[in-house]
Amino acid sequence: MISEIGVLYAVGVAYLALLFFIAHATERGWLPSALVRHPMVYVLSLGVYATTWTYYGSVGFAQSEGYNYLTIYLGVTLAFMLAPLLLAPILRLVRDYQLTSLADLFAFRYRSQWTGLLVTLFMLAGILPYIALQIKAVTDSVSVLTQEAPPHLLALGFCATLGLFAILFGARHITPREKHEGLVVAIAFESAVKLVALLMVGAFALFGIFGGWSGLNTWLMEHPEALEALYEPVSEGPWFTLMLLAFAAAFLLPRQFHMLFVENMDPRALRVATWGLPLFLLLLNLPIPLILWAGQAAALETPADYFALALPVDGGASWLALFTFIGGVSAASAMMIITTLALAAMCLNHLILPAHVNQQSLPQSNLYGWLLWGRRLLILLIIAMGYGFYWLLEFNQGLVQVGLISFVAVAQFLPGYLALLFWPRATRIGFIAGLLGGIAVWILALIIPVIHESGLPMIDFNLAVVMGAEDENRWAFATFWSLALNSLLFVIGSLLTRPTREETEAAQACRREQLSPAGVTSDARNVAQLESHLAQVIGPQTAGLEIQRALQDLGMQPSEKRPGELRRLRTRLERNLSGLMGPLLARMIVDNQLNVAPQAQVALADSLRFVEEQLEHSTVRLRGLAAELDTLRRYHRQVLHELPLGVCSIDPGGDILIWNNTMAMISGIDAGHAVGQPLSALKDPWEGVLRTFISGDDKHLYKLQISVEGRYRWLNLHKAAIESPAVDRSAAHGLGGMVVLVEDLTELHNLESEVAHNDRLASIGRLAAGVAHEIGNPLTGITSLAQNLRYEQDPAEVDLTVKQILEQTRRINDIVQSLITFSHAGEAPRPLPVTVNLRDCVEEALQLIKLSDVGREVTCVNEVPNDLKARGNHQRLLQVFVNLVNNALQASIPGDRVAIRGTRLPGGVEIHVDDEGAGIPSGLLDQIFEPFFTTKPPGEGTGLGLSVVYSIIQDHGGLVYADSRAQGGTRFSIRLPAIEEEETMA
Amino acid sequence: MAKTARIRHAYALPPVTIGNTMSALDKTLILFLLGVLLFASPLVDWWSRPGMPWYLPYALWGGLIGVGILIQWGRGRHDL
Repeated sequence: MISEIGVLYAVGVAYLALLFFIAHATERGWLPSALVRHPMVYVLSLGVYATTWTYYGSVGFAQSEGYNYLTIYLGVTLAFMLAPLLLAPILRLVRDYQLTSLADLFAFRYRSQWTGLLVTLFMLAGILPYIALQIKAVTDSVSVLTQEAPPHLLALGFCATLGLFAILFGARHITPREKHEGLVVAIAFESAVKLVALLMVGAFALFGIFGGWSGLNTWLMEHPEALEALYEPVSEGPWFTLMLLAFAAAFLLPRQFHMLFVENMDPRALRVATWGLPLFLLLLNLPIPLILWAGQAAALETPADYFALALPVDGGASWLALFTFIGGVSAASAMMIITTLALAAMCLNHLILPAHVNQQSLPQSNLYGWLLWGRRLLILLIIAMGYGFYWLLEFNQGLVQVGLISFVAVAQFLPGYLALLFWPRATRIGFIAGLLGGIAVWILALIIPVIHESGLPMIDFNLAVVMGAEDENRWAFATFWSLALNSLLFVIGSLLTRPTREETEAAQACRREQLSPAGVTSDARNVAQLESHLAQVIGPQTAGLEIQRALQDLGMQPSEKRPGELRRLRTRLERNLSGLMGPLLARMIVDNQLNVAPQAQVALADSLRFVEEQLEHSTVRLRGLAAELDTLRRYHRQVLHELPLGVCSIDPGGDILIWNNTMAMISGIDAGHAVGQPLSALKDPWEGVLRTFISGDDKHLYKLQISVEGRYRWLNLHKAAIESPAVDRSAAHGLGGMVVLVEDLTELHNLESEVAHNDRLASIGRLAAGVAHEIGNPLTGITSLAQNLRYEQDPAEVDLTVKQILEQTRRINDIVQSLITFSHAGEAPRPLPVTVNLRDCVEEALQLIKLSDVGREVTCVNEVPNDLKARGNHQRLLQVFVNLVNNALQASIPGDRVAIRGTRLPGGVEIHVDDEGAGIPSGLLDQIFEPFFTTKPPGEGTGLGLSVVYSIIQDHGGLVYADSRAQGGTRFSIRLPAIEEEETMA
Repeated sequence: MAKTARIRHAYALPPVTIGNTMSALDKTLILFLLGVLLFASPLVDWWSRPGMPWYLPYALWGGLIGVGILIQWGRGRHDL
């Protein structure tokens, strides 16, 4: 027997100190994050559901109500099996809107201070006795171990220690919205202790009392009434009522809501919890019948509620009794800490803060500190109130009875919770009316009778008895009628009233059906103005920190001015403030200080982005045709973004809607910085290029040369107007605009330049022999003249000879200059186009060709009129004529004639290069301008000449084509645009 | 003709899943209904008859959890 209260107190304090250490070690990062963030830690933390009511009370419950005690856990199992429908949407909502309690959730949905206030007060009334129950269970367990009444100081010390713990690990951050990893791990540890302790007591009962399975079976055969006592109440007792209550309590109890949603660190862990928590509860309940029967077999005199503790004491296993006691402390402390934190958050957001905001008495400096200390004081106050209840009520009901009162209380939130998920028509009036009706039945059928039975001064009234129900059915009566009246009033109230705009918006947000963003802020044009407006309510220091945090969350720059982005910042601020002060106050502050103009037209880019964000998060909710359409949308979006062409779409207001990956690569402007921006916000040269092109008449622009960061790029631009796709044009809300495709030709252009250069080098190679020959003749002449000069005495003759030498030298120089001009043609950067005399250009080309051996016996005739001119690049046009004439010569045989003719056309000039060769088969005419196409044997032609001609003429905005002549041979025709009149005159 | 065929092929979507596999929601509802059938229907009277082994409710409960675990394995990452 452990008789020393001091020892037990010391053990309890030492255990709580261990919890402190675990929480501290977690927050300091001493524990590996893989362990801290493991889904099983989340599952175990949800084990806070099992309080002393489970830990001690289940055995007593099993004795009086048989297997009915399982309903308290089977209800949770069923609720968690519906997690994807019931819990996951709320988890998303709580995370997105930073809600911190059930009161926040209802206040967010039903948009009323009265909602938050009513939920908070009812929750306090329903849960405080439950807290008192935990204190009583711990003191009773001490009394079981010491066989004497524990001093009240023990309960007070226990409460004070828990208050300290709750403050240190649940309210230690400057802002309350951070997750408390240390707290979660400590609660998970407590659940593990509870489970191990109860399993050990179960094992002790089985092997220590019955001597194993055979002993248990023998005892059960000898005492068949024991098993019957478990099964019999199932068909007689309130099985379904209890299961419904547990179903609701699984997520509506403040501690469950807090651990499930508020402290959730990874939404994926909820998937594991759908089976993990039921498994935990199954294991926790497995030893209950064994402990009960062992207690009966050992004829314990202790109430069955404390068999788990008395059994090891009776069996002489003091260490196990102590460990069981620690398990009980775990169960009580975990419940009290988490419930207190949750209730403190509710009280602060819905009782304290609204009063201060209404009176405009919020502190202008250090709001965070004020809120933090507010929470801490509330934690202490709630624990003190729980202690007060412990004093006030003489609990002659079993542990289960008090627990069930709380369960019926929280079940009153079930209609509101389900409507939040599935009934957008529900209104605040309906919710409040339903809740008040439920509360009335709860008070009349449960609270008044329980208080009266406790001996406290209270009228003797029991609604169940008045209505003709039997007193033992009070749970079923209270549950059914409270929920029925609640639901009825809720539905009637909702149908008789119309939801306000705020309620409709909130209902859409809850169901993720909000497909258009709110209007733009009309008060602030930039971030600084937003901050100054906010500072008027929450003070400049807090406003600055909140703005900084919101900018950081969104990855936004402080220089941001786009209306759509400022709206996002405003929304983010509201959500962050919601985590700090609750959703209603956050909305009130943001609405009052940053007005929204709902009528103002929301930019199309903004709407599209909003819709895409909504759809990104709603995969699970889309089903059937909608899901298929979404798949199609994602596919088309992916196609658009991965298209190897730059795509840029502009809305009618001039804002950029789409900026795909290729566009980002070509422009060097990230999509995040372009989408939603007006064209004017783009950096040079893109703003000018796109604006000019969009406002121009041309639907296509070819080979536009622009300079981007010191490098030239060549682009083809195409555009098309987008018709509004909506069937109902009035609803299209300005859909439409313009799409621009940008083709980057830079690489192709570089390749073409390289091809042209290679072709030139090949031409030079062909010219080399001719050049040598041409230079050889004057050189021979110079040599002879120089030799004669040595012997010449007559000054006149010398002078003549020198003139002749100079003449020959000039001839050589001309040849060399032509060659240099030709070889340098086309190198970037290209010279500006000039007026070219086409006859001279052709003449120069013929001179160059004469240097080569090709076609020496073919006559070339330049018949281009002397006044025929075009605007272009002399060197490049020279190359065109060289290539074309070369091509003609190669097709000719000795004695043929190649004629170059020119004519003036309306709007341009045309040059023909005619030969008398064999002609080109009509089937090949389409291919001759393709690179590397040649009809010559391998090694004799590069196949580049005509493709270079084609490329150069296209650059000049002209056309080139080939045709067979009627009289034999081929005609190549070039058309070049006409030059301006004044230039022609010049 | 060849071009049209290519374009059709390029626009072909991933296989449609309607009718082939159950969605996560369907599985959730089936599991829940199984739980209701076992523990919140007149079937309760059947398994709580006298003479049933004491561990039967736990076995049924464990079986239900087992089915839940099996269903979880088959779920995609976007289900919750």
